[in-house]
Amino acid sequence: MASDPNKKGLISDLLHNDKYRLILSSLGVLLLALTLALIVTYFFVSRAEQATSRMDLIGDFSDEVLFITNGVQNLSVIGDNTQERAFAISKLQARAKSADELISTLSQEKHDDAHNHNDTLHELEALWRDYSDRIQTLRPSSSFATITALGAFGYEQQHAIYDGVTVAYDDYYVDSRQMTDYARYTQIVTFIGLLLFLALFIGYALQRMRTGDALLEDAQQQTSDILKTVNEGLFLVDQELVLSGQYSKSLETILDSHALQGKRLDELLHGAISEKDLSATRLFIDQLYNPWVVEDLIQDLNPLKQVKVTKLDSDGLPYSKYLNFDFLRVSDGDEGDTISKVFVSVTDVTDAVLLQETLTLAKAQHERELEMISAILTVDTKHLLYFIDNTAKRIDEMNDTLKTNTQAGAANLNQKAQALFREMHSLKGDASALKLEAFVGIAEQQESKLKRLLDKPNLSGDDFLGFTVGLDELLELNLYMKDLLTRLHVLGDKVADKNPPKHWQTYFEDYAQDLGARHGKQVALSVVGFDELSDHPDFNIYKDIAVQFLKNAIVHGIETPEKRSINGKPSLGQVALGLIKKADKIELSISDDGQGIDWQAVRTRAVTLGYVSQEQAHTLNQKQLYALLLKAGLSTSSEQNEDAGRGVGMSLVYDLTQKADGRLQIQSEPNQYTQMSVLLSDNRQER
Amino acid sequence: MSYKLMVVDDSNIIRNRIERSFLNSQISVVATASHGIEAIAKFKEHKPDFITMDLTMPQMDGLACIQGIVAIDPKVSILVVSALSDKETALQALQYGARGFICKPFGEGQLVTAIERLIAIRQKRP
Repeated sequence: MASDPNKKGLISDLLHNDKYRLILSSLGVLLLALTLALIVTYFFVSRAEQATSRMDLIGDFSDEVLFITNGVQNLSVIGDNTQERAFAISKLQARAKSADELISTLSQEKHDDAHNHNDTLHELEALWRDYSDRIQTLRPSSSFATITALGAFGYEQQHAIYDGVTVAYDDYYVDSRQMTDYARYTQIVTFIGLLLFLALFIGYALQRMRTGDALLEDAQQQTSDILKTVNEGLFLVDQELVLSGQYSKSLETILDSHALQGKRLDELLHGAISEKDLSATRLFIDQLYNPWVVEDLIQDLNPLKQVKVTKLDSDGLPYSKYLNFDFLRVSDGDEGDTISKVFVSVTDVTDAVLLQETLTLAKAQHERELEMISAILTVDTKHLLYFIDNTAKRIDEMNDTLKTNTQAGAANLNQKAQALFREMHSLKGDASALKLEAFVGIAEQQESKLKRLLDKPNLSGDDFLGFTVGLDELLELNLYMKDLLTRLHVLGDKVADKNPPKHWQTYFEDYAQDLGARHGKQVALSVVGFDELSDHPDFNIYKDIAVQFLKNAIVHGIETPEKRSINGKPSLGQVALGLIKKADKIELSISDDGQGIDWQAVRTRAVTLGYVSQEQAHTLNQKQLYALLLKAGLSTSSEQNEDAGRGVGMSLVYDLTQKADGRLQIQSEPNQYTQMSVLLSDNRQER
Repeated sequence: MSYKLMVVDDSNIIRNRIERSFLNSQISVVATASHGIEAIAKFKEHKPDFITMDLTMPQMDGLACIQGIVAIDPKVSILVVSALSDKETALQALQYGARGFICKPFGEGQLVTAIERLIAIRQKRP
């Protein structure tokens, strides 16, 4: 792990690394060697300088001796006891003292080298001391003979001294040369050493770099091999959602895009997922970079968990797959507290999701099966068969409606949609009465589709495609229920029995209880007739009207028990339904002791729907109000559910009445009752 | 060290459940609130270290409440406890300064662990 140089110091940090430690210690050795070379050179140079200064000293000494010898010889020509002689002698003696000092300086120097300077110098000193002592004995009064003898002695001594000086001088000269040479050799050796070190150093560095490069290359190769083989799409994104250079090969396949380096994740997913998911993804990744947010505590908010991705193939056709994105922070820094990147792993989970969907579908199928079995067990089989038969007829009819009316045109298509709606609504009523929720569910979806079509300004034939698909679904379900009945062996002889089902009283009573329970109403229903007319060719129409009547009475007519008790009524609402033959007429009637028709609600709704203006609404007469009540799309129910809110019930009743050449009568008194009846001519029996 | 927690949720049942979760822990529930306005008032009064925050509430919802509280004290650790109906709103809450999210319904241990994670983050970055 790399550490922060500011915190611990560069040197100590580098020393922790083997590679850097070697470089630093070799630099240390080099520095030491250079210092040593400098010291040695200095030593040799100073020795050379010493020898040179000795050469100077010995030269001075030789000059002094020569001067003194010449001076002694000159004394003989200066008169005795003269001031001139005294002066000359004192000068000679002073010069002799100076020579004394020179020679004693030279001889006192200790030498430990091979040259035997000391012997020569001691000999020279001895020679000179002898001579010097004699000079110090000179007096202005000294005799001529003494002076002459000293002159002769001095001459001899001077020659001996000169020989000694020459030897010593040569010695020092050799010494000086030698030391200078040594200093030069030291410099050359140092220079060569430095060159060698540099060569070694560079060689070593190159070697290390090559090894490092090879390791790096190897590591990169390994990473690249992994990224080539791994099945997941792996990559890193920065805070700007930009993909880094390295990513796994599979990512291109998974995202169906190439050359992803430097591209933005949101751009890659643009159009393939919803805008909402896309913006959530941006927010989510942004939060992964927020150091205050706990990574584990936001994983539930990952918007790309099992996300459906839709793209276009090479032919421009859309196709979908499910991808699962997992996001992980990549942390950096000493405490792992700097979020440097976000690591993303993507897998194609389409197979798993589809399997899940199949399982869910199978579960739904299973539930539907149970529901149907429960219906088969609780509902009169005859009614079920009747429902199946009726539904098949209705589906056929709707298919016919879809096929005919080939002349396009919005008005025709709108009529077509309304016809389909009425048929579907009746079908839903049948299914609802038998508690066949699967049928009710599909019928409601179909109704919603038609409702959307009816609201659409310019209808085209293609708009009915979705409805056709749903119709097939319904047909399949119907066949399935029939098949189920066969498999449960409940059909038996009942299939052979072509007579229509009886027990309509129970059928309607069950339905009334069901409706009451759904809408929080308490209802007592009395049913008269029906069974006697169940083989009438128009019975299906009567029954469809009766279903709508019953629905209206319980949903809109009968009040809730609370409301009824406030109004002083018993909480149990009374509804009477009858289908009775009267001479050549058949009368279908319903009455309830509910709240009556809410004409004010009809007016308000008609204004809302734009059927009449606000002003017109107030001046509507009773006839016009009845007309509005029967108009398609008008419902006074505030919410839409299985039984109300589509605004189709009364219009359906009206259409069915027309179909059966009947007459519809409605009577209502507020807070007292509603009564509706359809008087149908029975002469259709012969058809 | 003991920490102070405030529970903000419009459901009495959820508030009780959250309080119960912290009965035997170093975290003590110092205040509860059923909507945003009450939460801000109680925040000023009790200065809790941690807050569990519902998002859908009457009067003032969670998003507005988070903004209000973070404006008073940006260092407060807020954990969003909400149903996963709208991921975007929850992400928005994080954008406004919340530090984590727990999906309703939650296990009791889950909530304590989540708060402990928030404590760890607080200690790491004083």
